[in-house]
Amino acid sequence: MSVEQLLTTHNLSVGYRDKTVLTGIDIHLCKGEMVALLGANGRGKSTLLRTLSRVQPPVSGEIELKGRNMSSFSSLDLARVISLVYTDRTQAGALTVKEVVSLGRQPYTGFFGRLDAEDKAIVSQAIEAVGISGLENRHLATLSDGERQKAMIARAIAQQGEIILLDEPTAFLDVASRLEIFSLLKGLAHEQGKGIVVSTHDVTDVLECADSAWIIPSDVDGLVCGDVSKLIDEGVVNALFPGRDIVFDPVSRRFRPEC
Amino acid sequence: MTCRPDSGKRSVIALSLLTATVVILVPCCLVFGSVDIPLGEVWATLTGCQDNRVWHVIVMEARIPMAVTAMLCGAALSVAGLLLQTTFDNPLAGPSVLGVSTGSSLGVAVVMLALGGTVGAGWGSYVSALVGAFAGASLVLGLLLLFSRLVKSTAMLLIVGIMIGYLASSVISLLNFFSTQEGVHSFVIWGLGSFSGVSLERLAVLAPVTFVLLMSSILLVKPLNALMLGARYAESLGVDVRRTRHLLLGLSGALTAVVTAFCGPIGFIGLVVPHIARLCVGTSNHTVLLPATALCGAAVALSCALVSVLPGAGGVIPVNAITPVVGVPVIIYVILNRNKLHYFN
Repeated sequence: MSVEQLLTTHNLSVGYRDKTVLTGIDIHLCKGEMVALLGANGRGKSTLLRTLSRVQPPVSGEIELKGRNMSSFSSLDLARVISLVYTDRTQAGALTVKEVVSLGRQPYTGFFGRLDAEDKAIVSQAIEAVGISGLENRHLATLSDGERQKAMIARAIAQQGEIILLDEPTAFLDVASRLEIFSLLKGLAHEQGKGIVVSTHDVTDVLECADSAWIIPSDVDGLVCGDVSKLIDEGVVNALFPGRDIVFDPVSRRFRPEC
Repeated sequence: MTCRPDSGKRSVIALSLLTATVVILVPCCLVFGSVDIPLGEVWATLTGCQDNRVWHVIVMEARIPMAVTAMLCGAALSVAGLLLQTTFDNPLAGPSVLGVSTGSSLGVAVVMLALGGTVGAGWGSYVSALVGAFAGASLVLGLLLLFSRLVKSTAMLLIVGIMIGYLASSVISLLNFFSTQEGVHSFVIWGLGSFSGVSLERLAVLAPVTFVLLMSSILLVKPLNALMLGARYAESLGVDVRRTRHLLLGLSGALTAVVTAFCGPIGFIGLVVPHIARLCVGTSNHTVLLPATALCGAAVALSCALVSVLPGAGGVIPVNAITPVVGVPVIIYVILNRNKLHYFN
């Protein structure tokens, strides 16, 4: 069985002019796959996501997007393939949920960004998909953090990219919203065939939902990737925080204090 | 729960009310002044049936140019303020806050004082004032752009803008110190700010330039809305953020420069009116907010012009003495209520 690969990297190194953060990255993201990107603070999760979304150039190596070199994409073409979700609070408090989700149609709409009937249908479907249908006409500022993040995910869905990259979308969220977001993402991957990468510190929560993981261990250079259960069995998850007084229990799939 | 299924309807109502306000204020500006001319007589003048020569001259050559100037300049400064607030992702930005107005003043000062020209006479002098103002505004915006690469915090960037403004003021003072008395006199008069100094022939330059700039800003509504989510999201929606920023800064600089060259540095309108407009329409969707800001700016400037002629025969109050009276309470209200105002959150 061959699964369509959306994104593949070849010996990719990411970082900045004066400091390479991660080297030798060979990863691939398939259609319908939800990947958890895990690593301790400062290990390069955001740098990797920024590089995969072409916000910053790779130090070396190549990124292949849908079989084409990513550098050959125009920024508009790229916007039609990759959607992003960040943690940032935005200035969009006085926009309604519908208006924010409609912004996801920008790569497709004309000069003034006017929506046609099809665009409007896609926007409603996206709002429905994240389960905030009753909130369409509410200002973003009146929503809870969890609802706000769902609106941002709906915007990413309306953008209709096959890939959604999320940089710590659950920071600041309570456990209920966290689990809702992760299972929502799982549904998007499995039912709509999106390729989803989500970076997070909520390791135990995300492992409930993700198919595979890209883990940046603290003690070795580079990135370890594979099926979630396999990585747990091999002790890679346990190696996330070496030198700290916690261990990962493979049975309950949670961290517990080392005693 | 604040459910608003009719947000579209609210925008239409707000825009209509703002238009109506402008439509009511314009004839008021034609009626009131150093001499009050009855509305019927104003109408007679406009339709060409006026026998009183003095009234004819006052309406056609003073009040109509003033009303049109106030409308256009109010709209221009306000839109410039809105563009800057969105570009810098900071609702307290504005042409006078960021030093753009002072930069324009510096350009005009160089033309008026150093080159010995006066803004009073001839085509050449006010075109050169316009060029000077634009050069000054561009210089400040260029510096701000440069600093925005180094200073990531927008609050710090505002302070850098205020500092650049002080520097420009100090250069203006130096120019004043070294120039002739007549030069200083006309520069000080210009610096008080006034919508009434624009004659019909100057209006022929001011009006089309301002109109074209305002129309161009409407062309940027789509990327402006994307920028509401922040530069990173805008980029991910396919917006060329760098290019858009340059366009927005250039446009707001040009809008500020035109107004400053013709009417002097006018404070507060650019900072305050976008807030009044947001409070009126209740959205930061630029498709509605941008026209609302322009209309609101026209209305505020017309009101200021009306207040400035309140003393009647006693003279005209400088516009810059009135704008803070309107502006400061609004800004303080906005700052005190920022947690309740949706556009701050």
